[in-house]
Amino acid sequence: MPPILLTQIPGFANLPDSVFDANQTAFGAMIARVSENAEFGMVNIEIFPDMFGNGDTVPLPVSPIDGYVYSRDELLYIWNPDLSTNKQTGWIESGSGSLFFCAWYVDQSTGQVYSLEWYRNNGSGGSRTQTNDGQIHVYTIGQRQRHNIIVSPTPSFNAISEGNISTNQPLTQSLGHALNGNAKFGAINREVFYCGEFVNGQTVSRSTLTSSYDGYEYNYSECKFIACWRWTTQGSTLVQPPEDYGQLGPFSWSINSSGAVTVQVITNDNDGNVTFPSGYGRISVFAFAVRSATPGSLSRADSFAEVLLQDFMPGGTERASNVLQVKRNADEAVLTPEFFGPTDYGNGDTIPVPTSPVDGYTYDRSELTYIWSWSNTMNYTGNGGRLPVFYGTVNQSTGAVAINCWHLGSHYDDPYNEYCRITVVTLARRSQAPISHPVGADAQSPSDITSSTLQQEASLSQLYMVSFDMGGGRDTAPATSESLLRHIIPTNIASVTFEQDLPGAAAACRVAAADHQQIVIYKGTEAIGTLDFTAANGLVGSFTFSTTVAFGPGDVLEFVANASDSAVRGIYFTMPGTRA
Amino acid sequence: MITAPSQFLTANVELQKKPIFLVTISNYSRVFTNYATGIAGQYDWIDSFDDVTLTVSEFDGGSDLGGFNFTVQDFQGLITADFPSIVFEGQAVTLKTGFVGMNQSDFLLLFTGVIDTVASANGNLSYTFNCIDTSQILTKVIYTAGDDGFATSKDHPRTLNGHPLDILTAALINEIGLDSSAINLTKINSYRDGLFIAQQFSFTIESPPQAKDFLEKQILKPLGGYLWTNNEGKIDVNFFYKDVRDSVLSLNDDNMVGVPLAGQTDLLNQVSYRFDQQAGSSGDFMTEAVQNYEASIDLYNQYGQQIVESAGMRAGLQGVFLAVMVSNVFFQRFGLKNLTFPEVIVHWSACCVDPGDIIDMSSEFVPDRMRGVMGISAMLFEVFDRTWDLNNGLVKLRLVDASYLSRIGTAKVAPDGTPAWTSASGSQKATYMFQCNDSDKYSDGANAVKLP
Repeated sequence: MPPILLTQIPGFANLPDSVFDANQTAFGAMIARVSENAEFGMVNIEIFPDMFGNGDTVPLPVSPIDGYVYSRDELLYIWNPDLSTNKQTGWIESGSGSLFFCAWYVDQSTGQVYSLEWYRNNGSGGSRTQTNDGQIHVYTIGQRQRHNIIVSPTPSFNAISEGNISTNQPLTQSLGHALNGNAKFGAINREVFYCGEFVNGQTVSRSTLTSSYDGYEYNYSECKFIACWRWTTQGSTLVQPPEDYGQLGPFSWSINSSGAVTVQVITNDNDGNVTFPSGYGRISVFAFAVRSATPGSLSRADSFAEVLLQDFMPGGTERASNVLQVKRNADEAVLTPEFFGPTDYGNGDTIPVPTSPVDGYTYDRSELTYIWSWSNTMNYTGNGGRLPVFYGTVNQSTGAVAINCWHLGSHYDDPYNEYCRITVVTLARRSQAPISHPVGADAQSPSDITSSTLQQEASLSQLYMVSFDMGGGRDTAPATSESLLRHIIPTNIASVTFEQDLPGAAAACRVAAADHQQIVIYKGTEAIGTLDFTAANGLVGSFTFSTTVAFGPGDVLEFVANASDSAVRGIYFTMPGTRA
Repeated sequence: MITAPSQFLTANVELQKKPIFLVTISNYSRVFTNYATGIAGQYDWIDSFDDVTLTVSEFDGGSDLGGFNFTVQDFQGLITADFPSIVFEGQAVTLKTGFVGMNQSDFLLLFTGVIDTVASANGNLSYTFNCIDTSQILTKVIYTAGDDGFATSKDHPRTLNGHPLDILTAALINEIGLDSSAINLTKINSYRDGLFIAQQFSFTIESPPQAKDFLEKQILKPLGGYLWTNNEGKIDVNFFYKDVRDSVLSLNDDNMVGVPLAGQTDLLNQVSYRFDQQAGSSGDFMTEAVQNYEASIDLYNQYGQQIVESAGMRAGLQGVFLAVMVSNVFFQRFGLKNLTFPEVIVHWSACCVDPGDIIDMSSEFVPDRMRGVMGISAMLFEVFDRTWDLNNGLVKLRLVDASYLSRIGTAKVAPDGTPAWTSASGSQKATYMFQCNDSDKYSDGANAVKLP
């Protein structure tokens, strides 16, 4: 369908039903006001997505439907740091380590965008870098005259038989009341609220879900919540995390069906341990609300068309075609826009095209706007690891979700993108005029990422390698229960940590196994992993290391042969860790 | 139309009659007349009156009542002798009219105001009392306090959000200090709850305005109306958009003095409404709705524009609707270089006519350019300027074509159960609104009912 374009900007008026009481003068102006309300319902909520950076101010948007210029007090701003990277370089400042803490914000009264991203290097006293990296996706929600419209009493929706709208039919009291009520209801039955800022354990108050139009207080069940990250540090106050909290790990939020907020921020301390600071993280919450009085089923409502006000001026006539169009416009306004979600998606997912549960209308991609937020930046197995970079996008044309949360172990990589999640609310508008769906500047990971961006002091001096080689002269395989290597952590090192899955570890042999040679890795007497050589893998060995393990001074790392393969010879490996 | 006692109306029908005028001054024992009434306390010392003229600025939201000035003989120096015992300036004054033989309780109130000055005249043998109406108080600066109680300024704005006619009433009562009895609330509220029902304006005021300027430009002008002061001295309103359309007086060659010279209204076929004013220093209007009267433009290939800049109108509050509606009534009156009479002189029987009234005229000596013939019959006009020539008992009116009112409907909303047009009774067809086809007809070929 062609996009909806209006030649006249519609507005709202709280027209009482009494103007359509029997024997009241049937002013054309009153039908015109109803028509205005119906059309107003089609434009009352608009969304304008765009990308911004720190210091930018979101401009006043102009409606692509009718050219309406919004004023600042009609706007809400939902934001998401789609990319944590610097827009110019596409990456983080070389040598700055990993994210330390972040704060993002769009001032609801001025539209000013803030992005504060601190980085920190490993270890006690690691250097810290303050930046304004980050590319902020701002979804500007326009709600016309949202502070000024007054509606009383609360209107309701009543089905109208189109049989009563045809040539020769009278303009009756019931028809007038229903048209008026439906048009007003369609103008106010959907709202978007800014609910305030929250920390873990708090609950979104229903008082923040109260309509300024008529005081209607929405139930939680009528709302779809989405959150914007305010900051990742101490929830109550924006302050630098203490030294011993180390670097930023994954952070996540969720809001349940009762408005209860859960916020979690994970950090990696200076010893490489995962920590869970209490009360960390702060979010802003927005609600997309639809009144439960919205009809559960309607005939297909997709035939909106502008009705010119001049058609109702004194001296004209009341054409059934105009009245019918007003009715149908009100029907569609009741469903405009529709909100779908919130739904969590992972990397590689595709957001499906929604179908209206009310009238079965199936939306086209071009009619959708995906409002998404990082709900979990998990970047590794278990409780995750240091989070240096994250970025993502939702392809407007396909709904494809591509999200990356990098991990800093011994080096920068992102092989664990299946763990991170975004939460998406889809705003759907039928016959939507084309709107721009910008994406941020691409993240540009350096090709030699492991060496060029790893801070030298932080990387080389703190790597900890455990190497072993049986040599090429031995002509027997390891015997069952043979201790191939015992390695004791020196006492001048605070700790050594071997990350889950041992990123970077490598193992090989000079002669392949005939069947299977397994070596068990112990921390003291506790088995913590294995190294396996199989006939199928030939000369390459593979580690299994399911969880991150930290060693202290004097702890012993031991490699013990399990079963003995008759053929394998000359095993050697390097197992990297990090020391503190 | 000034509400008059029935006895007055009956007597006023007569073309030949002598008006009696009574001027009463509060806190003063003497009542001045132009006729020896024989009633104690009434003195026929009035020498003359100046014409009392009310001039309407229909495109600017206001009007001007030029004042009521009368000259009284200082008989035997008795008025001079009164001066030490009364300060005339500021005293309320009323002007009533009646006819010989009529009980004075049935006299018609023509003017209510206050004495502004008293000047000597006729070689100091007379005094001229210059009286003004109550609208002088509208020069007061209003909205001097912001929402937070501080003096209104950019940082302490005053916000107003409501029906424009409620804003008008509130300003008159709360900001100016008028008593509600000094306002024609009946008419204001009838428009608020009638043709302008549910209209809403929203202002952010950052500098206190003068009341008259604000009310005329920001309330009345956008609504297609104007402020004026009625005979009771009440602040009153009139609008182009009418909820009362019946003629209150029929003019004809008998009750008009001479043949009125026909004129054409200045062409008005474009109206530019500017609204959605941004708060702050720029004050820009973000929306401009230009209404064109295409029939006029096609006919004349000429343009006449009216500009309305409203700080309170909002597109989101049906500002465009209001622009379309008001522009439509402008076009109906001024879009086709409509017939107008700058001055129609009528006998005193027209003294009850007020600005804003609808009257009809029939005259075989007036050209009807639309039909290309001499003579008009029961053609509707709206009264704008009005002058009372009290000395000669004449009324002078400026009239503008309002004949479109006869072409619009009066249909009502039908009760539930009303049958369709083809089954409806004649009475129902004549009373109620029915939906028609796109050819503006019903299925039986009848022309559709017109919208009111």
